[in-house]
Amino acid sequence: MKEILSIQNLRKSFGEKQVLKDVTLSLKEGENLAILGRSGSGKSVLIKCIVGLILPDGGNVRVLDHTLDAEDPDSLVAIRKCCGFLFQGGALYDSMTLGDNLRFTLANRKPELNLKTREEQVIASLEQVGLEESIDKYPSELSGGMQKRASLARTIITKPRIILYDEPTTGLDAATSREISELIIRLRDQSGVSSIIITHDIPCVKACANRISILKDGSIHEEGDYQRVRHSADPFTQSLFYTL
Amino acid sequence: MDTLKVRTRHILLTVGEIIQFFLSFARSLFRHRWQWRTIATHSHVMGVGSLGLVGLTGFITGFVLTLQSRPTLADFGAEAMVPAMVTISVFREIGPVITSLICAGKIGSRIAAEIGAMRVTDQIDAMQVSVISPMDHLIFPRVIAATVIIPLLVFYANLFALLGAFGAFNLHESASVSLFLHLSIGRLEFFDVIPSLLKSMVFGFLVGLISCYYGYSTQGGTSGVGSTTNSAVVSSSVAIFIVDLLVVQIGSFLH
Repeated sequence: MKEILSIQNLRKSFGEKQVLKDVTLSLKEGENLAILGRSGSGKSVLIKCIVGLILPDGGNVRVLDHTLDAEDPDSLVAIRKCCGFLFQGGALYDSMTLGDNLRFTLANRKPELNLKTREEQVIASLEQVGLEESIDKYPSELSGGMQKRASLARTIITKPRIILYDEPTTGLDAATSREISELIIRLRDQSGVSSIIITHDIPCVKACANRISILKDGSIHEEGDYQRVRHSADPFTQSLFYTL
Repeated sequence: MDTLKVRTRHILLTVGEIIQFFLSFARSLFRHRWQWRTIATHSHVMGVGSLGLVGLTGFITGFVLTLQSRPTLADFGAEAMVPAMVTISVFREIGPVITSLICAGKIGSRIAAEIGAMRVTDQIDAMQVSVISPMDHLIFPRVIAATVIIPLLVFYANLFALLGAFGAFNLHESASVSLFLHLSIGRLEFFDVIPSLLKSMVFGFLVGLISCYYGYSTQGGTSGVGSTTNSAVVSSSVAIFIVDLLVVQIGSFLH
């Protein structure tokens, strides 16, 4: 499979605290990569560095043919156009209805589309996450799980090649978490979307991830598929499966 | 001494960041496709939402100013000068400054809290990741709306101040509306009205820009929103006084 994203020797510090020391990882086309680690280990910082929400201190981020360059806004735009990002809290625009959240995003990202096509795509995205009935609702009227699905609809409407999930199932009950996991799998299988999933939810990891990377002390500690990592002899890796 | 150094450094850094923010805004001014509907929506919310408060404070200002200045002028037998004195004071200085200060509280706090809440709930990050410029869609319409609406609110407050002055004047004297207008507005000159409206536009711009800056740079969750809202109001108010001082000096020099 073709490599779609690569990170080499990524470093990021906040003041004295070095959060990412030397992270190197890659993501292949149509692959779901889960990143596990203790709270505060820099998992969210890592995926925010990929889309330039946090600028790294050093190292290299490459998405398709684009290399992240803090000095070049065009590289940032090019990378962001390839990536979608699902925020932990959903981050829906709370002054807009669900439909308007999607319309606003699509109108700005694809202004060349006519109104009819845009509306069709809005409905299609909402249908994909099972929220077509809630098109006129405001985010505050949606449950936590619905907000996550709505946010996913807003993410996929721009048809990204890669989706970065920041704790997609945190705070949700087991059934809703399973629904979100199924959506992640469906996006990979039907649309060929690659994903990096930051999570503490082991059932979600087991269901969605083709590969798992363990982040420890700011660098990748161990890597492999679920079976390999789950049965690793490493005490730290084992502790994650019991404590997460 | 160290605290003073730290405070001074912090103030200078903030001023530098506001200037940087202004430059981003200025760049947006030229590349932006003006969204009239969004600007109109913000103008409507800012303007209509402030009418009651601004009208009331304008009325009380005119009323109190008339009551307090009348005895002094009466000592010189110059009661007839009260309407002119109050009107010129209100139009040149008190109206723009007081109304803009009220707007810094009413409009500025709203802007900072809205944008700050969007920042701490990742909505601004979500826009950036979607390649939607927050400067174009959040900052620009609010700053333009504040720049347009605050001068209109100043003018509106001035009219209510005249109404208050008319009421207070008639507590002791008996003047018809036409006589009062002749004694008040009849004495106004170009230099009393137009420069103060231009000054109000600058105040409006500052309230919009500073409030947006603080909202945009919010950190630290809901308590961060509270703290930046507070900073937005305080900094906008201080900026209004500093710019007023400069404008008055420049105006005196030109006059």
